[in-house]
Amino acid sequence: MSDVTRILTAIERGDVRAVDKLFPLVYQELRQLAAQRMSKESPGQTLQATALVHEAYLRLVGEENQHWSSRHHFFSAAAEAMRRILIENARRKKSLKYGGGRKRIALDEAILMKDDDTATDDLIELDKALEKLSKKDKVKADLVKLRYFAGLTGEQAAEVLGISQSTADRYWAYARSWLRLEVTKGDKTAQG
Amino acid sequence: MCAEHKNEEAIFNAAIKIDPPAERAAFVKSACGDDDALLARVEALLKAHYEDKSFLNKPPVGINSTLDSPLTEGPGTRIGRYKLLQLIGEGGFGAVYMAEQEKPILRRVALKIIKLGMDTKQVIARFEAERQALAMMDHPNIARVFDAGATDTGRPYFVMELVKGIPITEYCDKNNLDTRQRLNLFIDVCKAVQHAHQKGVIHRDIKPSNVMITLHDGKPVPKIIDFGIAKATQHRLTEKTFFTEYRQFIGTPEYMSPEQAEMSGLDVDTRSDIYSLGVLLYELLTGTTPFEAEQLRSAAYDEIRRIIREDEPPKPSTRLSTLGDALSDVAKHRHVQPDQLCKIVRGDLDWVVMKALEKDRTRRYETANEFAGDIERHLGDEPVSAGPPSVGYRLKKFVRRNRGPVTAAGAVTVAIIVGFIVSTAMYLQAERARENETAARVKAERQAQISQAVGDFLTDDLLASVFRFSDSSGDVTMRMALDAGARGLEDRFEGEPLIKASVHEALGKTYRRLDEHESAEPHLECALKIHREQLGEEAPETLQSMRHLARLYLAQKRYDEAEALLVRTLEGRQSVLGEEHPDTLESMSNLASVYYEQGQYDKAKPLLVKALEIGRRVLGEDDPQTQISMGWLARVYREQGHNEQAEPLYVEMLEIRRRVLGEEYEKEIVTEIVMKELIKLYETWGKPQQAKECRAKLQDLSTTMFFHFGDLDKWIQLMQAWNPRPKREEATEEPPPVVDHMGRLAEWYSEQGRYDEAEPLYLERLEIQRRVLGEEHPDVLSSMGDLAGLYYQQGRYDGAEALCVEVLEVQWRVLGEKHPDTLESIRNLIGLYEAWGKPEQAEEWRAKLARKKGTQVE
Repeated sequence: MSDVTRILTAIERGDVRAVDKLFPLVYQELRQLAAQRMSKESPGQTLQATALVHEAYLRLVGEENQHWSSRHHFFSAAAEAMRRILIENARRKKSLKYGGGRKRIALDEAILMKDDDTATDDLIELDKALEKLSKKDKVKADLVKLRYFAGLTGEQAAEVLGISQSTADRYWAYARSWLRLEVTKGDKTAQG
Repeated sequence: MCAEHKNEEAIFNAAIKIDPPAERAAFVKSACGDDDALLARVEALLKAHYEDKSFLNKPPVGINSTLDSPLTEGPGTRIGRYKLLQLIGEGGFGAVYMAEQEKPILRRVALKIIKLGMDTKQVIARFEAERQALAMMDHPNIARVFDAGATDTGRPYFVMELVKGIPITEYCDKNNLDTRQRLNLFIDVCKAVQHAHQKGVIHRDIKPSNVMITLHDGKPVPKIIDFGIAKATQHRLTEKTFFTEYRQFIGTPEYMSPEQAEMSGLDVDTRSDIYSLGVLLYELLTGTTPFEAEQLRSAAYDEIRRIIREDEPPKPSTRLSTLGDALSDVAKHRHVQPDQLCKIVRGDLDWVVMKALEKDRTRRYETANEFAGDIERHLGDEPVSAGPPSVGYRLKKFVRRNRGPVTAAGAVTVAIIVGFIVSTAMYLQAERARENETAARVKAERQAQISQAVGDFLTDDLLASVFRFSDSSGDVTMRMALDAGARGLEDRFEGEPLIKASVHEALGKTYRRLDEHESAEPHLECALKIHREQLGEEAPETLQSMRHLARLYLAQKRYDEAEALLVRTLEGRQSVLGEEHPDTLESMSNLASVYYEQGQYDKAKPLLVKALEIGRRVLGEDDPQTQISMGWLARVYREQGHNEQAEPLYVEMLEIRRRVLGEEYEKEIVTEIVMKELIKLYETWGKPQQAKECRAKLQDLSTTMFFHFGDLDKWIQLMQAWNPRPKREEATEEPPPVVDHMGRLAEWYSEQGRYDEAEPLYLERLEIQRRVLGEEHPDVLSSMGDLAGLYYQQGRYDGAEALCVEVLEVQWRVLGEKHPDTLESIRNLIGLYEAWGKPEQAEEWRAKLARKKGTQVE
């Protein structure tokens, strides 16, 4: 039984503190998994957040442990973890670009790092907007995180959040447009 | 969420259920009532909903290792207002389609999709920035660029006038155009480029496939395509992107100018297009590019850059004569016999092409029109402006070509060669000026003769001897070369006394720089004698020779003789050139410096005061001569103890230098001297605070200079002037700060692609750190990593591997196998093996890495 399964079981038994222990583990696993995958992928292939999260799930939780509640907690943690990883990555790229911490750019990063200022900036912008949305309407923000960062389908995300699928779809449409506007607004202020 | 947002959300949700846009708009309008703000908000949300389908619906970036994915667009795809019809071209950059535009007018266009769409936003932004200029271009030989945008998959695309034609080189060969016809087409191309340049647009990627020939009523008309696109798609080519991307980016290095190859961030200007035009002309004439495609393709990346930046391509006629069997084919396509083709190209056309291909862009044609003008002159049998390269230039090239043996011989310094060139060039300039005065004698042929004679002497007699000597003894000095040259001098310039005098003078000055005073003397005396005999006592050349001889006497501390000569020079100049001529002022300060050296400050002062006063008034305070007078006067005041008069002069000099020099650090050497003198002044004056402030500024300056020149020894020497600590050899306890600078400098070199200069610095830093910190210190390991990275970038994988393994071994033992640094090193090694093409080793390490992870998780 892995640590994660133990924690998930504890959560199901109602141990609230166990929730805090889950996140670091999932985070760690996803990071390692991403790094490992990235070094394996040859250029030209896309490594999906979805695939990563699901692989981490299988490794940490296993197929035999498919309780609704475990999934719920695991994917919430995974969505948050993936978001952090991507943002950290984006920030790091940015700082490398501006000359901070140039001392050691790992060789593999040198190959794999995309010179993608725009996407990096976009991601950071999006994260800011998402944070704003989270303060206004947490469920919608969580929905976006689950779908975008953990790569869940609308249906899976609805299940995790405990809302109906039609509600989830409605939320998704509105949140997407809302975030889009927010991001464009950020763009404008950044330029002006 | 507050009520109004609920409202906004509800209206939005209801609206997206209504399909026909008109009905939807009407619904939103009525639902919002008279709340305009709400209406605007909902409309914006709806716009976002319908317009940007990809937002959040595609996986986030940053996690895909993909560098490029295949194009998915094809015939039938709609991109913006355009419908793709058929593929008309494809390459590393992407694909070009014939497309149809329906609105506002129905027309066929060419739509180019860039495959490497990683910074689409920036590409489009750069295009937008240039759109205005592009729109101003209106020329029958330039294809218009209409539009740019991004495809649904996020790739930038450009919409251009559809040009139905074939590349100019292909057209010329297919139709067997003779050289004259080719030149005429090329002139049209130049004029089109000129038009673009006048509108402020640089092409940056001129090559045959961007210069198409279309037929108008059976007449060939060149059309330049892709204007503005190279700039928009410019990509900062860093070492890290190079491995996988550069070939797509560079595409055709054959046409790339040296400054583009440099990629040092140096601005690329219109002269870069001139270079590419030169390559195009070369190809039109000879059927080959200056550096052949095979040569460049087989070379490693750095080698390509080096070739473009340093190698001298053969003249077109030389290339033709070395083509061998291929020559008859090339000639046939030009409708001419092989030997005749060589003859046509040799001479004028050689020079014209080579002028456009100069490495130093200041030596190329200034404008495309000037380039075309020379070709027109050639066609009209008038003399062209391009000629055989100057003496100095030939000499430099000679040295460059033979860099190996010269540096191996050790004693020949670039400075001396340069000194030689300068003096010769000065002579030629004077000669030219004189001939201009007596306009009747201005003859280009005569110029060429002189330049040829002096050039032959310098290269054949003088420098060639360097190599003769180095064959026999292996140890040759500039001295020996000069001696050999001097021996041949007497007979060489029979009947050309002025050239002989000039060479004597050049030799004499070079000896003087080598502190070979005795050898210098006869040459300088001889030059003076000839000038006196030929031109008279008061000719500028004679006075100049007196000055050179006087400087020798000054160096020999033969003050009386120096003084006598300088007094005569000054009198001569005063009477011939007048009191206020710059040369007269120069003589004043020269003479004053002799007085200064002898401690005769009272005699020096009035001369300098006068020279400075005239200088300020006539030449301006920024003029170097005024500065020289100012400097000497400041020194005289200081020596006399008139500190309060010396100080403002020093301060003024520093201010002027700061204002005038800008970024020209070479001249900062003088600034440095001035600062040092000012510091000395403050110290003797008893003003330690000012001295300290000045010292700090000096330190800044030398650090800047250090970075600019990369001259480590110079930097150390300066540092030691006020801080005795950083000595390279002696550090024992902690590494001297100099190692940081070595690292920074090496990094800088490496960024510039100057790996050969980075390597010794990295090695030296490592050596110092190892000695001081021990083998296993993290800094030592980090330095080894830097060095490995450098080797990796150069493709020296075995060297990189050895270092990586060594680092890993230490980390494994000292930090343990699960330490992040150890893991990072393993990943480095995997990346290295991947790039090296050794997948088995990569796999092996990957397995080890995975095992480590496995143990960690369970």
